[in-house]
Amino acid sequence: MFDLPLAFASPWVLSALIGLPILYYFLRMMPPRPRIYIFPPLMLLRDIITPQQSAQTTPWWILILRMLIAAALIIAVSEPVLFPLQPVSGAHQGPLVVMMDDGWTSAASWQSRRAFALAHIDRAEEEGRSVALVPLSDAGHEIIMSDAAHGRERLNGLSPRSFLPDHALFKSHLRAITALYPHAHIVWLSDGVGGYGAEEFAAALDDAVSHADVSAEIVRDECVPPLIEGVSNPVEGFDVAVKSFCALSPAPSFVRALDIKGRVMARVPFTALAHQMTHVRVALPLELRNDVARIELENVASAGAVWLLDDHSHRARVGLVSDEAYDSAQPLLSASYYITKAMQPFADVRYERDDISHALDNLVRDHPALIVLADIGALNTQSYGLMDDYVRKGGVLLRFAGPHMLASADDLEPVRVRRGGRVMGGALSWEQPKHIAPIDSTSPLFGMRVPDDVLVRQQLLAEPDVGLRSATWVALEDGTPLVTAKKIGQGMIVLIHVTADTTWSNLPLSGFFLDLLHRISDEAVRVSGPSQDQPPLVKPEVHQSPLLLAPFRILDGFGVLGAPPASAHALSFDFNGPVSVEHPAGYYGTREGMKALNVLMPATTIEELDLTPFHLTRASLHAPAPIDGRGFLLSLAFILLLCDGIARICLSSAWRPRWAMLALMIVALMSFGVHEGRAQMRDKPMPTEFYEAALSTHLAYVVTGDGKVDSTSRAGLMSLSRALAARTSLQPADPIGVDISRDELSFFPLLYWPIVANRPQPPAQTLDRVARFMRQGGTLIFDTRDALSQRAGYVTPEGQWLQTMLTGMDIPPLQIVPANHVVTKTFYLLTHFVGRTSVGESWIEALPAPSDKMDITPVRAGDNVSPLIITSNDLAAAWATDAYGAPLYPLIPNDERQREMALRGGINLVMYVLTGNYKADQVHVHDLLERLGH
Amino acid sequence: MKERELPAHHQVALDGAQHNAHRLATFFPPLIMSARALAAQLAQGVHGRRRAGAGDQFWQFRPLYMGESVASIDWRRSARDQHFYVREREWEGAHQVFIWVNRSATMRFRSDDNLPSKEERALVLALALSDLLVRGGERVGLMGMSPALSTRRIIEHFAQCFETQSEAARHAPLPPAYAPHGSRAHFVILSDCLSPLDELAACISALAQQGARGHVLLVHDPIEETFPFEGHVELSDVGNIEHMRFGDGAAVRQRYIERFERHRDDVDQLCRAQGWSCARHRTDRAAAHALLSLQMHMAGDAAMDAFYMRDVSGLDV
Repeated sequence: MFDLPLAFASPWVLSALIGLPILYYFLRMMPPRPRIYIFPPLMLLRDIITPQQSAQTTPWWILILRMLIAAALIIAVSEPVLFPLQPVSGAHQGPLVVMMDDGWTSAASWQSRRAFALAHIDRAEEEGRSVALVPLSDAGHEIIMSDAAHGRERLNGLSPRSFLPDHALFKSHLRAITALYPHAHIVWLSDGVGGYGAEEFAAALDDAVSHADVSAEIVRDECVPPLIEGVSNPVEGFDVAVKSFCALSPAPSFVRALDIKGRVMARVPFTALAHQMTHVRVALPLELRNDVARIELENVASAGAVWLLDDHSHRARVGLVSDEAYDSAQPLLSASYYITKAMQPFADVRYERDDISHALDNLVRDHPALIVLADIGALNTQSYGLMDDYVRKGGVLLRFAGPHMLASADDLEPVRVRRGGRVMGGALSWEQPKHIAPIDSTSPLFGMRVPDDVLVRQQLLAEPDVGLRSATWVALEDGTPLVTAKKIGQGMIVLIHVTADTTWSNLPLSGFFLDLLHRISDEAVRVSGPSQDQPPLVKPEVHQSPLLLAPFRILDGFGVLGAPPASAHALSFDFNGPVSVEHPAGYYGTREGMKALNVLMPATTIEELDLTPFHLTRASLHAPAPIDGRGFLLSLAFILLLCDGIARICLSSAWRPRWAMLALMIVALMSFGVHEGRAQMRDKPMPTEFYEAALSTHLAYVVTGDGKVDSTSRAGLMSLSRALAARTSLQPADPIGVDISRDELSFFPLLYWPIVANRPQPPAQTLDRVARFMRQGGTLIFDTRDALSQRAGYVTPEGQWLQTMLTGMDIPPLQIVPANHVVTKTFYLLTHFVGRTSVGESWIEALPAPSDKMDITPVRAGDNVSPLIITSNDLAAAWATDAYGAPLYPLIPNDERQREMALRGGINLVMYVLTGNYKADQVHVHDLLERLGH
Repeated sequence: MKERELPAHHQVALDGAQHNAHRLATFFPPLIMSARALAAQLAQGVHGRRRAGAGDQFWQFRPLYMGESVASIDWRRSARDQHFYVREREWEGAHQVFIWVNRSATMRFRSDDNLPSKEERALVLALALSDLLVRGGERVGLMGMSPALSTRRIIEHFAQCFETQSEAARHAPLPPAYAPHGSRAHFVILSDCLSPLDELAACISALAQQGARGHVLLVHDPIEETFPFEGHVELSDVGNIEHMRFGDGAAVRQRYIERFERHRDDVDQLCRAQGWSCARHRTDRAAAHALLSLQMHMAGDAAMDAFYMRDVSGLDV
């Protein structure tokens, strides 16, 4: 009768609806009783009132109201259910086989799939059938029937993988199952993606349905989630190719660019239409673009919506050769300086200062996209051959003019050059320096903005041949070329007719120079193509033998980077195969040099699975859940009863109390609504004691609950604060004891935490707060105070406590404070940190290893302040003095000088935390060198 | 909107002596006091009807006129001095006022606890009127309960008569048909006259047979005049026997008021037809107002009677 999928659990109750007309009759005849008043002259009324008028009928709307109430109650008792689960037809009562697609294409709707499978498993359990749950990535095992509990366990243990499994491997298993269990019911939770053997698998299922007596259904999502097919890095910004399979919702979706730490650097909206490739431009400044580590689609939890970037996608490789003799003391006079500086944002410039032929040899071996010759005149034969070869095979050669080229040149040039350039604006010339003319439309550089402050005083001229016009990319005002280029073989030679330094023009000083070089290098990358670019993907100086890269971080099916699973193997640096179980998508290598492997190869596409040739039952994943109508109907009946009560009040003829009763009832009703709707979170107002904390710097200690330790911490930090006030420019206020689980930690740069082994471990929320504190730049000093009881191979209770606490947290690798760490030099020059004892070691975040043997600095620092420092000498006890300055605790090697050193260590720590690593600069290098005996 | 303490439909059930004793203890003293106060309010303007006339009581001695019969000389007085005196008797017409108060169930109704019930108001008016009349020299009696008297303590006496009135008499909605009266009697009927008109007409004409004059005071409750009911309402009569339900009282109001006025006008017509007068009183108005109008009507009647009497009394009967 209705189109609504409505079912009743007790439909026989609905027969009570027949009683509604009888109810109507009674309600009509028995109107509600009004108040009775005594009226002596009633007999007078008898004469004037006709019986018709005196008979009272119920108003029609009360009738309808009451009948609605009765109807609602009757229907509610019959338990209506909207969208009931369809029962399986009786013929197929065999076991249930649920085959789940668990590649990354099903990650976006993973929860619905799980819920769907769970619903089916539950129903199979109700009907007493055996169940098998088969993930399609696991083709190695046969399908074994078991009970629903095992099926659910298996289901809970599944998560989407970051590769697409081959469905064709399951054909034999399918045959086995259909042979064993003729009445099986197979449910295939498909991801809707074709390829990878899905069509063959569907054909096998179809076969099984038609020839054997199994029933099968395919359950699919309405559409495959969108994915990123490729990212390129042209001049204007990242170009992200997004493929979407169905129209996304009208709200714009976003493409996000994230850096290595997961911070969002750009967020670009785009709208995608169905079955289309959309190119989204993510514009970022050049300097920031190299920090981008991944590009992903927002709110799509799938590995296909993530594209990992590594160095390879960032920068072009450029080799630079010049034979200047300028030393690094006068960098602004050397052409290589300008070129390197200009190309650094977008290219890796490798500068060879060797003899030219050796230099060229080295460079070419690297297969750079672009080789720049800064004022090299004629090349010798061997180099000429090398360069010629390089260009013909698809390399780009960029030459700058200069005195050498003026004197002698070879014909590795785009145009014929006239020896003897032109000088303008000199003492004996009559011409003015020229500006650059606007670029005309035939040039590949058309569209670049030409500045009007570039003046060319001297240039290399070209012979006015026929092809000069077409070879000119940029010309000066009078038509003489500034940049010319010519294709040779698969590559190109570009000549800039001025020097790369400022002697001939001020071009290197302008932004136009950068843009020009960037465009040229982009052209180079485009021309050279990926086949030419077969580089060592990690810097050779980092990996001495870069043959195999170990997995570093692996992407799981949801697109989240995590630790590599056991099945991931190392790959070679020139691996360019598809992802698989052994080589899942993610980063390989080390933090300095990573290779990214993405789920999609550059040339592969994903298409939807076409199910039309198969006669399989199709179902949708997102069938609406069954809705119980009872609650709705009962509340409707209740509301109608309330309305009826109000109606009675209105109809009764109480003179004065009528409006009062009505108002009372309305107020009572409103009080129902008042208590709901307060679920929104409100910001807690800050307790007033922390106004104080925000207004000045306080040293803070964590209240451990042990009274002696807390009072020691307080006294110690108090005397440290006094020492800081006396000796440095910092004027901290009194130290504050902080309850680590409740108080706001962001006011304190430094948190001193003395470890007490017998206190309970902090709960997970507290650990989250601590982690957040450290992530936001705070520093925790853990003081285990057990230096005397430490032995090799034995973990003290405090150490155990600290280890347990820090196990779940993301802390950086630690090392013992090296003697040249900046923390030992920030105020006083120290060697190590002492407290009440002096034998314990202090641990701090590990610094990156010194990168270059040449630039070893006397003081090393990392980029950030270390988020934690672990020490085992009891620092607070050494600092603690009473109000008069007399020390409270004796020191272990009873040396008062040690107390002074402890105080100095504390001052250094505070200074380190507050100022970071600025002390690692070169300002004090002479003093430092003296002290360190260099 | 209810009876004193009991709803109307309980009223008729409670007829025992206990109930009467309760009523007697609490009901009359305040009535007596209010009646006395009321009478005192208006007593100043009342003059005695003291003059000579035919009657039984001694009035005064007057000298003998020439030509008067010798038998009427009072020798005892005349022996005191040289002149002859005749005993003159008070003018005492057969002029008696009989009061009747309707104490049936419809009269015992009050619509608001601040208002007296119609019966109370009627009783107060009856007692006060009797006191005033006695002060003015009339003789007052209660129909069916007391002969015409003229004592000073008429209020207490009548109160006692009312108290000891029999139940049957109390429930009568109409005055008793046979009332012993002289040739000149005044009837004062204090009632709401909610009986059917024909019965009322029969009663009044029975009373007015021998030329007796009368005065009817219609005592009503304010709701009987205004009909203030709104909306869905059910009305019952005082015996809780008849019920009538209305969907909207406001719609009925106008018609009821017209009907009520018509009824009262009919009663008025009835009275006028017999030469009686009729007045209206509402229990929320001042009792003094009604009493004054009553008294003026009575005075008017007396003046008329006196006029007639002078013609007749010249014969000195």
